[in-house]
Amino acid sequence: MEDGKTQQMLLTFKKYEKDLKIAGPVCMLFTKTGCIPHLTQETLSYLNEHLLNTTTFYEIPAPTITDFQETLQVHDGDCAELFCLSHSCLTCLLVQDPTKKAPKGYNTNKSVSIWTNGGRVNLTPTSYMSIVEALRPDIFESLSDGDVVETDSKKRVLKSVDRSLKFVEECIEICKNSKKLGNSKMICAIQGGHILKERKRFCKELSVLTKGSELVWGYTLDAPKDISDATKEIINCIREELDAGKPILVPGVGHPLSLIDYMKEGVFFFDSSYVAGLVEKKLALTYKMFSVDECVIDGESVNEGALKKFEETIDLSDKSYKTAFISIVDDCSCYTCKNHTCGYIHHLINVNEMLAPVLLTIHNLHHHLSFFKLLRSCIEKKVPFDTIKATLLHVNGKEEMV
Amino acid sequence: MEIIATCSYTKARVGKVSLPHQVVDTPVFMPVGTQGTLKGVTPQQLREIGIQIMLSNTYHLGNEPGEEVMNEAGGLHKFMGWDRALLTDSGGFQMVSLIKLTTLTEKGVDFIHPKNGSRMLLTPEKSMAIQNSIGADIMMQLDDVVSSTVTDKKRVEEATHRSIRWLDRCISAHSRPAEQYLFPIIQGGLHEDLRHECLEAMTKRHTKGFAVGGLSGGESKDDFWKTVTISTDGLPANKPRYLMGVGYAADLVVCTALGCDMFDCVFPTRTARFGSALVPTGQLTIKSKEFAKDFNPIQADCPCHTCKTYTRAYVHMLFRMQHPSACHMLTIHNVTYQFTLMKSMRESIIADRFPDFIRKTLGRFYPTIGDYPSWIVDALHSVNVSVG
Repeated sequence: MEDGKTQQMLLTFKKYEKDLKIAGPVCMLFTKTGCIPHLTQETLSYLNEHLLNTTTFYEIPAPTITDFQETLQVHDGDCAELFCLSHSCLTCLLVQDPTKKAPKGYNTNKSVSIWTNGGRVNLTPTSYMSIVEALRPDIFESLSDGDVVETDSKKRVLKSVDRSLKFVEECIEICKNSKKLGNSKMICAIQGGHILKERKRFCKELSVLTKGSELVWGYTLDAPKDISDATKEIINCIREELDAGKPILVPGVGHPLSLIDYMKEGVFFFDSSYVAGLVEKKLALTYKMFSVDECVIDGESVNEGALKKFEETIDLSDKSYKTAFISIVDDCSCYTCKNHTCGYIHHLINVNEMLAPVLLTIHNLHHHLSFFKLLRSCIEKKVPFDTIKATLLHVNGKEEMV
Repeated sequence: MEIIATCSYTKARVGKVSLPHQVVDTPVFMPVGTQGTLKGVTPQQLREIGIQIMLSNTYHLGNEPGEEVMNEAGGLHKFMGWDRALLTDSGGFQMVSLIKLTTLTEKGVDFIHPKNGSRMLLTPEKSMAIQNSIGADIMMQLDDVVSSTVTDKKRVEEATHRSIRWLDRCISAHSRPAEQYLFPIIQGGLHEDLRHECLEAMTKRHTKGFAVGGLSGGESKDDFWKTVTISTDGLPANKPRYLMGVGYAADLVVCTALGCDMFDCVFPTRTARFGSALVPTGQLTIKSKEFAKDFNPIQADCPCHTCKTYTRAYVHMLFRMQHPSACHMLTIHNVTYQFTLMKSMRESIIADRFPDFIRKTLGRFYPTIGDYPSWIVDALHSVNVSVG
């Protein structure tokens, strides 16, 4: 059962006539306007090369680029060039910012609202696609109405499905007729809210819409940070009704245990917005990692106690770190841990210095991407996900497991 | 200090100052990292640029993280991860800038922290204790700083004499003279006689260098340069001369010609965070709309990472997004700009072509002969260089 899901943990993308192959699970780098918050390419280069794939994905939320119309109109090139990114990266445009919750109730039958620095912007498929055309990202999300929560009525959910299908159709049409978007691929946001039937309907009709089209590269799902049974059903539904071989992106998922849960369901495309969120809260990732060879723990013995006790971060704003002149993680090889201490970072946080989030981002990204690397090697060696999870809990356990 | 070269026209010199952590090439501009960090920039980035010495502030560090934590950390070098040279000021400058919150006596200065209302009595002894725990290569005496705009000569005189007395208290209290070099600060306001008095007294004390203080506080540029040159004339040739609070490119060029070796100023790094890039022709307000469509680097021939990687339009966008990385990009550029300026200055002095360098550099700021401020013309004339 697991093999079928993990078989396809390989992303392929055709760029400049080259077939790029990226082994999953993949963590796309969350940016604002093409730049990772607090970092520049200089500080990003502190990350060990082996942590960044040879091909790096950069995620750009539309609200962080929409305001710059005059620049976009004049710039003749793709957004990687606009953002001064290297040629060996892939860019992915999302409609909303995964780190911000959009205010409710502003979408209509004709448009979706996004919030930029300048305020609310109404995007119709036409106006959205003109932004996509100006940016020419390698991948762009379809415009859709995702403004649905569990407490919404069935009517509202139905509306979001109908609207979103219409928007997808229009986006595809515009793309077909565009001279500039020949190389860009689309990821379709899967709608249907909390009603599984609606999810099925969306997927079925999307399948019809996109039959034979080479435009759709994958899907994106507004999934909860911790996987639920309902989410598992939705993922299954995507797999059954649409192309099971295409990747599903779940923005915002990043907790190590959640990552394993989602991967078990065959999802292997994530972003680093989780890391950005931790940095805002002055949290540093500290959970212990392990080597593939340590994965011998029986997967069945994952216990609730260990789950509850699992602590993935420390809060460096806490006064207890004032004189902690040790690195965040003892054997971490990142720039921050090799050169700076918890005590220093605590001081920087305390006096509101800009270097604090820089150092935190470097460490957290290093830690997070190291975990992805570990997961990739476990998957390569066909270690069952339950075993990976049990090992992670064991290594981070405070009690000895028999 | 080893003098490598002297200019045969002006009073400029190139030197190597051997400090406990680093040999520093002078003339040098020291970027300011007030709270034990150069805002947003890692020590590694500073090393890459070539920075050999930077400044940190005793008053701020004395409050946060405080003397005890600094001691436990083993000093500021270890605390902030910087293995090159550091210079700390005494905390005295805050006297001038926060004057409403201080009470001054012979004992010291009573501060009230503007944010949390906490009290601190800063005496020469306390300043030395904090600076000793910080452990910077160069430390400054606590001086009675009077703003250069104060016209009451009696007050300036009082401050000058007190500064001399406080210098002696500092020298007595300084507990690590082998590992940290204490610099006196020449005061005397804009009064030539007081300056001479101070120079005579302070140069009698055996220190490894001297600072020229009490300037860059709003006085006229004419008074400024005249006081600088009087001060350098009265300082020994074989010791570094640190002119405090100077950082504008034109000022750096002129004051080097007047014999100064070391400078510091928050201006380049502060202006970076406000969206302004320093370039040979002046400043570019990157935040301004005119750069939204400019896909050139900030400065074509600049070796900094920002200019090699990013366009003006991109940095502009990031500024408008209030993306913190925009500040970092401009800080790296401005620090490199200042560093490159000083490096070129040193090279031209060694080649004994400093007057050409002065004319070329200033000529870019003042393209028309009539643009030159008269104080620059006068100051350079006094050291045999004609401009304007």
